[in-house]
Amino acid sequence: MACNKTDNMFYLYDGALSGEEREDAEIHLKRCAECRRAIADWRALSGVVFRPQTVLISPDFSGRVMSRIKAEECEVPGFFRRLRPYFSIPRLAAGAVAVALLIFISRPFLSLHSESGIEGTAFVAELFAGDTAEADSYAQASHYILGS
Amino acid sequence: MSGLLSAPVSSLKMDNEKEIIKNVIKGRTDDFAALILAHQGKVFSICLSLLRSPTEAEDAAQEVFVRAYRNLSKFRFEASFSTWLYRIAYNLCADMLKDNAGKKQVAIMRDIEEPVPDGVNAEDRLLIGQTLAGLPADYRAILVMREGTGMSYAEIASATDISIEAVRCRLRRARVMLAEAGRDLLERGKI
Repeated sequence: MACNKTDNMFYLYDGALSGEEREDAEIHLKRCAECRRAIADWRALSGVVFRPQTVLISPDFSGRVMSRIKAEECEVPGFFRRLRPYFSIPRLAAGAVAVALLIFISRPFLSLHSESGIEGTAFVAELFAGDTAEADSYAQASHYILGS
Repeated sequence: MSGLLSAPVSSLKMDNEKEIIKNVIKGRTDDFAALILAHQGKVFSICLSLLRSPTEAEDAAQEVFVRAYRNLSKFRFEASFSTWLYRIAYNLCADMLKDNAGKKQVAIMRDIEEPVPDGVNAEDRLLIGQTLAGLPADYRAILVMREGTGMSYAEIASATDISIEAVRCRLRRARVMLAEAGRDLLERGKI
């Protein structure tokens, strides 16, 4: 490969050039005997080494793969198999983040009740702005639910 | 090892392929066979280029399709299905080579049937086989992806997780190495 443009000729051969680069390469190839020979030699060698008809594979290959897939499928009950796409790792991670966020957002409500019932009652009282009967019933319900 | 596969048995159009993938994800497992038939030749070629043993390459190709099936719901249609598949193949074979490091070279020439023309004698056959086997595994894989399966630089880069510039560079070096070895055959008019 004495010509310094031979690499470019291989990009042309690979279909990796477009537009002006391609046109320039085509013009060069017409003029340069060395590049033409390099490409022709490579084409001949490649035709021998990478002939597609020499690829051997068992005729029942796809059948054997499908048997293996079906055998694996039998181990997973149909209901769970249908759910499987929804339980990929990214989705589980997103679910965990959502739960963590929910806990974080509801933390002020939880901490009021856990520290003392008085603060909680005061917050509820503010919330219901003087409607003490409704505030009391809300506070009782909250104590019941949160167990504090 | 028996049977001859001249080319992919069928080539699926992109839209059909997308439809089939969606159907398989929905539960139509049998439809996956069409994807296997369309891609088995190229997947096997890539595995063979890396592992150099037809038996191991076929086992690896089988594993590639099983893994692809298991992870089909993660396929996002951003790359082509074939590129995604070749990436699984490349990574799987690279892992197998790492696991088998040291043991591999002994088996290579024993069971490989090198692809050479009918007029080439046993000595030349061995020369081509040795040359190809002597290339670094990633160079061999890139050569096969380009020359054997016709993948673009971008597709090869995606399948092997390297830059397009690195693909160009390795391809150039691999060609120089193979051309050096094949020079004698070319000069003697065997090719």
